[in-house]
Amino acid sequence: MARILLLDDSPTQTLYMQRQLQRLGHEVCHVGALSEALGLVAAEVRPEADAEIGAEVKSEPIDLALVELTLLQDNGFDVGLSLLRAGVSKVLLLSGARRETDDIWAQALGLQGVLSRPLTAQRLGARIADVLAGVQTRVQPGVQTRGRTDVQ
Amino acid sequence: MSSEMMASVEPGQPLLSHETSVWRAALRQCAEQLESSAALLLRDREANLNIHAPTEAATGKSEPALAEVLQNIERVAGLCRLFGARRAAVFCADMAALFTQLVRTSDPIPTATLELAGVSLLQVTRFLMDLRPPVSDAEFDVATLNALRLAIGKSPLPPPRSGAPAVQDGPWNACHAPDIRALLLQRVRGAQAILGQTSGAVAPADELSSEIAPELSCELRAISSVLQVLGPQWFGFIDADDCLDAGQAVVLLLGLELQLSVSPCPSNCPSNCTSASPSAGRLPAVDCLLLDAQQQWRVLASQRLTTLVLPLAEAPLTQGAISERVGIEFLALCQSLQLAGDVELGLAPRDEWPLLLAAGVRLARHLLCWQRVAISMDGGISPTLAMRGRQLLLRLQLHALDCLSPENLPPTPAWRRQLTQTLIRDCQHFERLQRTVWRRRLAAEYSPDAELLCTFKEELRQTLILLERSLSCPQGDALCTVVARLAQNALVIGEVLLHEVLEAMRQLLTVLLERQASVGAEDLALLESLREQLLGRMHEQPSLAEEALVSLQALIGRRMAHLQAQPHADITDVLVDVTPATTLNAAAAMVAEKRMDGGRAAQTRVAITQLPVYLAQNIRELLSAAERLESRADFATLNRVLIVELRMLATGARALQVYRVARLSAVLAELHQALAVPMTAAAVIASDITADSSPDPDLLVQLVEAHRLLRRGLNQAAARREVDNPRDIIAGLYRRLDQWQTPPLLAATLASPLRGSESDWHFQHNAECYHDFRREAEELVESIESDLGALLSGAAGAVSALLPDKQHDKLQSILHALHTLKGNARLFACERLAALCHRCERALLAAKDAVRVQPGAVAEIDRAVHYSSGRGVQPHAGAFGQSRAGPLCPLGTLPQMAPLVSELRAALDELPLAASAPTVPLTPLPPEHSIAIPAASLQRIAALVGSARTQVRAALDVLQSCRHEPDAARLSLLEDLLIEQERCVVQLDEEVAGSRLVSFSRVTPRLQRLAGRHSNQLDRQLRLRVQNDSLLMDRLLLERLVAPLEHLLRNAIDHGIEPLSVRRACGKTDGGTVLLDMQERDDQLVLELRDDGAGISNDALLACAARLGMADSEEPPEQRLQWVLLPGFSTRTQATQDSGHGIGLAMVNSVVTALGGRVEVESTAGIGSCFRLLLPRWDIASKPV
Repeated sequence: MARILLLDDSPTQTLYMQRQLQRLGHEVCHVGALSEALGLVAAEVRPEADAEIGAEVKSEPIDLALVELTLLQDNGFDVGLSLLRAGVSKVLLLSGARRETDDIWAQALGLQGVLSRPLTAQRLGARIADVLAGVQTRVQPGVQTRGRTDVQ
Repeated sequence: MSSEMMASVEPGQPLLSHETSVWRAALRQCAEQLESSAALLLRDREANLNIHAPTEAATGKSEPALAEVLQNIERVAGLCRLFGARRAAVFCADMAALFTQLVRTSDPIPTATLELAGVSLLQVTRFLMDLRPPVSDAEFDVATLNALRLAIGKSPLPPPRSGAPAVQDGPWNACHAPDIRALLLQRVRGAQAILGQTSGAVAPADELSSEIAPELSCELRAISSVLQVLGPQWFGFIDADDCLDAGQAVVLLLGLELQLSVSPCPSNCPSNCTSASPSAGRLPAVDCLLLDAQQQWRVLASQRLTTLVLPLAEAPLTQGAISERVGIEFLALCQSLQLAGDVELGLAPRDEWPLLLAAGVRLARHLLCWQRVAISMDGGISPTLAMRGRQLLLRLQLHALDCLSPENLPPTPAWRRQLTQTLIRDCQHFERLQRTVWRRRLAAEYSPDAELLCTFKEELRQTLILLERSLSCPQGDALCTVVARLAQNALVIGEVLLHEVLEAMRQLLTVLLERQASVGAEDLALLESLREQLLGRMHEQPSLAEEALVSLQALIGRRMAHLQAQPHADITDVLVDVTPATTLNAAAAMVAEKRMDGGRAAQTRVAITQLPVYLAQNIRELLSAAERLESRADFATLNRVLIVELRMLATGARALQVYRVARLSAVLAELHQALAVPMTAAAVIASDITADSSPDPDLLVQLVEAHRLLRRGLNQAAARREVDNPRDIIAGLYRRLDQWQTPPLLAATLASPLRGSESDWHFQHNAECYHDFRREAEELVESIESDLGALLSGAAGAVSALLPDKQHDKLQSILHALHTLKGNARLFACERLAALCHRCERALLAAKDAVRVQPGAVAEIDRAVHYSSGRGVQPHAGAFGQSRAGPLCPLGTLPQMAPLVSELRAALDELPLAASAPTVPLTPLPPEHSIAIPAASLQRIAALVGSARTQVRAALDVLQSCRHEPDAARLSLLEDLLIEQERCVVQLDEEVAGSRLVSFSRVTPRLQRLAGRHSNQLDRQLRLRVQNDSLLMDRLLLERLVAPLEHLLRNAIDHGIEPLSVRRACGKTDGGTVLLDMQERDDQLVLELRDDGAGISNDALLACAARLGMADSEEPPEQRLQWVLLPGFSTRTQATQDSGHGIGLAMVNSVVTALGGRVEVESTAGIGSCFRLLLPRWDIASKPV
């Protein structure tokens, strides 16, 4: 049971993810853009801002942010960094078009990693549990070794 | 059997190939074996004919003999089946039964039976000896068969119907050798077909189902017997009974297929005897490939294949999936095969390549996709899919190996075609199957209900609108994002095929993005038709037919293949001069090395895919350091870190072709470098960095902003989005650098007073040239005045009469004019005018920034204007921003521009109208000039002078004493002293001359910097190479040459090196090369500046000549090139800030002429130009300073 911030600008994906996460027993708050997310996070950092945002926003801390990598207006790396800076402790990116380097890059930026679609409830649940428990998922070893040999 | 037929077969022995003769021999050997073993058995039996019950010993002895006979008969039966001699096969089976009966029975055997066995044996041997299956088979008529059947107690066959079809002679009637290989392959494929029927139904680890097993086993046995007959030296034997596991059978059969198709002539391959089954150990075919040492890539490919085959063969079916690594490997293999296709090694027929590879790549993609499903869907992969997938994979490998096979035995084209077709059919089948499985899983996972569907439809509608908008002004990354989103959503509602098509499209767009290629019309058409399909989907029209999507997918695939066939743009050079001394780590060094070696395109690609990893490894350092810049503490340490990281980043990003990031990081690196090394000459920096070694707040703000932009750019690049253009920030940073770097670097390095008096010797010009400059300056000042007037009239009325963008335009045009004027004034040594222009420019720039950035900066313009309002005070750059007035309206500062401009006018009016005016120097050397002499040299000179002086004094003393009483000893002493003194003077001479000679390499960094910066500003990629710059030349000569060289360099970048798009269109490398070479030839010094740019077009020359009204346009082309040196001559119709005025080259010419040399121009339109400066080496050295 965790409080999860979902940032995606696709209603379909959002709806689906919301359902999945709720099914997994998490509390989800969903936003469509970085500015909204920052407002939300700010409200948590400064509880007095609650009144400005609205009563429905609770001031519990956000445990994890799930951010879509390819947003229409922005890119997930930037958004993730901003969220980290704003005080969100863990950020996991979601991507439909996985590339080998995404994970590496995300982790270099200090994000928790990239979760690739299609997702199943099981996989989603396992990864979220890992991240919340502080387990850093290693980048695919196969990919790396191949790269190394090729370079040589 | 008709006589004609016999006649057609009989004449002469058919022409046998080597291979066929080997087989013939094998057959004959088999027949002999059968005959001898059976004859032995029969003789034994005959000898014991009367013994009712054979003794134990006899039975024991005859059993092995029987086994041998049976084995031989089995082989023959297999052969018969292979050749389609069905009756012969039946006959063989019966014969085997007869022999078994003969041996095992305890009853007395009738002689007739024994005879029958003998006769049948003869018949079979004859069949083998003269193998013409259809004809020979006919000899086993029903009567013969029935005789045998009766003997073993089977019911006789019915008599043949009359008018049975004539036996077809098939391939045996011609002179062709029987294609046993092809026959075998057919057989193998038959077995695969049997297996294929089952694979749908088989559970993973099951034995084959009972009805299939015997059939398959029979087939396998037939195959194995044939193989045995054809020689164990060829394949080894296959134990048919071991192959009843479905997975093994698949592997075995495909392995066989593989070997049959690629293995060279049997007798050539003795090494294969030992290999028991194709899946164990290295494939013989691969061995053959390995022998071919010259074809390294083949070895590589075959090794990869081996590594792929082994895990496949070993992976038990229960575990379902092949690992992802295998999938990736496979994809890589496909790519390398494609690469190999480019190499053109005379492999497969070219026309089949695309088809084959398309299938292969498609399959590989699907396998990857399938892997992903397998992984992401948690549950194991469906066994059916696994089986199919593996079958396909192996078949594709077979294809690959086939293509890789040494040229000695290409399989028949028909066979190849058949295999390709099979492959494609299999692929399609696999895809369909996979889609179904996937759809089912997705439906279970996502359980799309009404709400989800409704949301999807709404989003689809909006996204399609977005797509339409994107299509009207196509931008790669935006399109890519939209398509990716559509693809993901299609998956949510279970549209698997649609998802695949969209994914393919996304990949296509990604490739375009990665190559920095624009979205072509072709791609747009694809997107358009995709959109139509989606529209159809939205309105639930049946137009979303599977066929349409499949054909669309094929189109996308073709476009992709086309794209991949095009050569990838190579890595361009790194502009920023990376000093090896700085702590660049191995990665950057590697990149730099790669850069040097442009030829290895394949490696370049590797570098591109791997570089994000290298960047990522250091990026955290960089980011955190940049983060902490704001806190200001520990600035020096951070600065050091940043210099290293930024340089690495610049190198890496350029290799990745993310030029915007590269450019920004290069500038930042330069800036940090400047902050780190407070040069004594550039005292400004010292004032910038205060006691606690942290720079002033303005600079910090600027730096942090730049770093933020850089980080953003990096993220955008990582997300494959378009990187924001950092042009403004870069310009700002360069301005900073410019501020610090006055006085110019050359002043520091050569320690010669370059700035200052109007009587600077720097430029020598002739009257015409000066006249042009004067005229242009007039025009420029006029335009500045009028523009400023327009602006002021707006500002004065408090309400701007001009629209904001109009204002901006006016400001821009003033800036432009000022810049041009400044450049020209510098060229003509009108330092006062140039300085004025510079001040005006800076004031205006600050004003412009203030409009855009922050009101606080307006203070700067205020200050600047204050400074520049005459008095000739050199503005102190570091003083800017220290005092801050309250925010002003930027336009409000413009009235203060007016005095500045009028001063400009005054300065201009002061300029003489003609070059003959007294203030303009005509003599090449100014009356006063100083040079710097190294301290060590000076000490030596002082010492020499000192000793010369003492010698002179001593000599005078001696001379004095000689006057009184001259004697030989004193005279000789005097002589010694004089000789010694002469030696001193000679040394002194040498020392003085030596201190005047300097190496050209002193100015190389300056030129490099100019090249880097100038090309950066103009968005050009290039590399300046300076060769032989260790050449020594006279200090003064070098000083005078710097300006012309700089101009030539700027010229090369401006006019020569084309923009990236143009270069690509011409098929040139991305990065241009400018080569500066110098050498001494006899008494001449030759400096050559060569570029590989656009060259000088003859048409433009003529056009300009016509414009200038030059009469002699009939000159030969080589002569015409010299026109560019004429004042006012410019091939550009539009002048820019830096060039196009027809002044620069004229200046170069006049400087060189004044030095007693000349300029030569060579150029080929489209290839490049070369400017050669020929100078007398001695000119200045021989003249008094």
